[in-house]
Amino acid sequence: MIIGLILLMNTATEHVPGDFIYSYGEVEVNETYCYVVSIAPVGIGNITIGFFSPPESDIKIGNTPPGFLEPVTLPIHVKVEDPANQTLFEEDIISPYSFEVEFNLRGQYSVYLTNNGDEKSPIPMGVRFPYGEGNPINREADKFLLGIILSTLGMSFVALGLIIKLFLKRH
Amino acid sequence: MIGPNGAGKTTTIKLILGLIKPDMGKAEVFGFDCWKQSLDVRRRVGILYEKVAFYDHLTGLEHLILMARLKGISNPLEESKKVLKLVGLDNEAQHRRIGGYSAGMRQRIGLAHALLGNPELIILDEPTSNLDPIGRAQVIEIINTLKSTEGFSFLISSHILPELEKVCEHVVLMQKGKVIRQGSLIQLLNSAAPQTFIIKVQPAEPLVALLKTEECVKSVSLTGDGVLVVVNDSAVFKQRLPTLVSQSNASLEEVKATGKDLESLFKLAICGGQEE
Amino acid sequence: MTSFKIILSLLKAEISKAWNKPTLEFAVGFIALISITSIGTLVKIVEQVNFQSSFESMIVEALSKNMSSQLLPLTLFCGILMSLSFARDYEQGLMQTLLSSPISRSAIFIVKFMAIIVPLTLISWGLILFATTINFYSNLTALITILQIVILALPMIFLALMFYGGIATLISLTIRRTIPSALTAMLAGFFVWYITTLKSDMIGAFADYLCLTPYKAPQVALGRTLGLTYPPDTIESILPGWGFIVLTVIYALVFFIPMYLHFTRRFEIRE
Repeated sequence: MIIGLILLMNTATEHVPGDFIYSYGEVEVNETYCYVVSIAPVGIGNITIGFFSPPESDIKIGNTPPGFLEPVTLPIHVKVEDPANQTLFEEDIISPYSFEVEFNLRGQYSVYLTNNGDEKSPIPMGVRFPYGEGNPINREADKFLLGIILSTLGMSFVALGLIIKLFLKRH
Repeated sequence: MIGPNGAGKTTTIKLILGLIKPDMGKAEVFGFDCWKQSLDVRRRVGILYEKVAFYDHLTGLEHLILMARLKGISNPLEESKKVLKLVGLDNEAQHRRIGGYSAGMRQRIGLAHALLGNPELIILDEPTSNLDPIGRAQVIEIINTLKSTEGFSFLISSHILPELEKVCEHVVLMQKGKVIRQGSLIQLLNSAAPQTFIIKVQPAEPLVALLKTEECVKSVSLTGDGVLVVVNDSAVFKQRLPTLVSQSNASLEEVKATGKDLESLFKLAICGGQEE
Repeated sequence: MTSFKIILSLLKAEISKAWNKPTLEFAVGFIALISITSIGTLVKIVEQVNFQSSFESMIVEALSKNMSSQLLPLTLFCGILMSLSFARDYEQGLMQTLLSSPISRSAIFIVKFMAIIVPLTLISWGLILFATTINFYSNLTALITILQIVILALPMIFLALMFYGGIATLISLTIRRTIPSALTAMLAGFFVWYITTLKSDMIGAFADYLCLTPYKAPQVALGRTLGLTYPPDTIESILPGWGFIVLTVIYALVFFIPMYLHFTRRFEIRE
């Protein structure tokens, strides 16, 4: 019961950080690179391709080094697979591009990026969530469920124990 | 084992069980050195301390089973049930947690613990000091029964002398860490009385001074009960007493020849200041 | 020699006494709170080619952070429980009863010591394992990786707690009063933690050597064993990994052995 309640409390307040950007050097023409997103089942998030940093609307002037803001413009083939190897998204896009993915499983989501342009180029990739405290959409669903199960089971055992004790005392 | 507070009774018991290392000399029980071969001594001795302490979260029976195991007893359950019966706790109380026991029940569990495994010697340190009169009587009765029917040997340290008198056969009287009297109970009582008198008189000091000069008086001391006088010749003393009282200008309230009991022996030995 | 079966009986009684309600519940709750909250939500992007090593370093990082945040409350718990085991038993007379039983003093000391240290280690480690597993588990391979890494924390937590247990035993057997011993043992644990938080602007060059303290050494030993990298030219990276392990073992025994010898050869119940 104790662990269940702590998990519940934790997942109710915990929220995913706002933004993750990763860039691997440079990708050759027609070459495919794969990024792995290790992630908890936190619901809907955005995968951003071609942004080096968060979109301009979220950037406070002076916080990001100048020159880092320039997005990469490139035709890219994108394929996203969930941990069960199911394809969630597969399209040809022109970066910078952002699309929604629902993260429903804990584990590794693979993002395959193929450079369809004319020259080699870095392809930064990020995962973005809405900013804000304790967004209930973005809480960890499996921990939340485990928290509910553990605390319900625990409380049931405690209640059962108390009832049995009371019953035994009376008789 | 009797003596005033601080006489060294509990210290002696702790020396026997190897809880204290002798500053000098050595203590031996059953031929074993109490400090170096303490384990051999503890295997042969059962103990009930004045401050009885147990695993309070266990039931009486569980605690005894654990203690029986620690004593290396092969059938802990049977042995625990046997000693519980001996101390009269073979009822539903044995299945209750010790934390909820009354002082009397704790004392009984302590006694049962001491009896586990038929020790060659059972040491009881102030076994009745925390009990009400009924509890005391019950514990004394249990000790008497065990002594006579089961053949256990006890070493009892106590302040409550009238009760001790009912169970003991041999007495050791201690003061300030030394044995000042020892012997069989009958022998000691005979040697102590009736040559002892307690005189209640007001004021007492002049009479004490006069008594000290008398030849028939062996020793005089002022106690809470009155003037304690040990005499060589009681007939001469009885003859001289009225004269001495009138000489001291005191008013006599009571003269009492002390009886043949441990309490008198205790007072005589401790307050009379005689040392062997 | 006291037989193993007798020692087990005593250990069972001591554990049930020390961890009686609500101690176990409180310890589990408090340590679980720290363990679960010290690991944030899992969101990490890595290249596929480096996935396995990145995944391992994520677990190592989480484990290291978890152990580091747990150590202070563990030392405080250790101080309180050791005082309850040694000082309270002395005060209430149970120690006298035990020492009068035909069981060796070595067995009594080791049982009383381990009745606190072993469950505390298992609670701490179990909760680290739980928090790490629920955070990183995705399939059987991941679980095996987690187990392989987290298992190494078990001896380190045990050795770290041996040090604090040793201090708490020294305090308990010296003061012999429950509340003062518990407070002093907690203060001692807090002090050992506090000195590791000092910075070079307060203690100058000594700050570089704080990784050698009993609080940090087990953490660095674990970190080095798991391949965590430390800034170059620091003691953490200069001293070999086994050096920190040896140091942790020395710390574990530095109070335990003298207290064992004192209890088995000199300890007396005078009051």
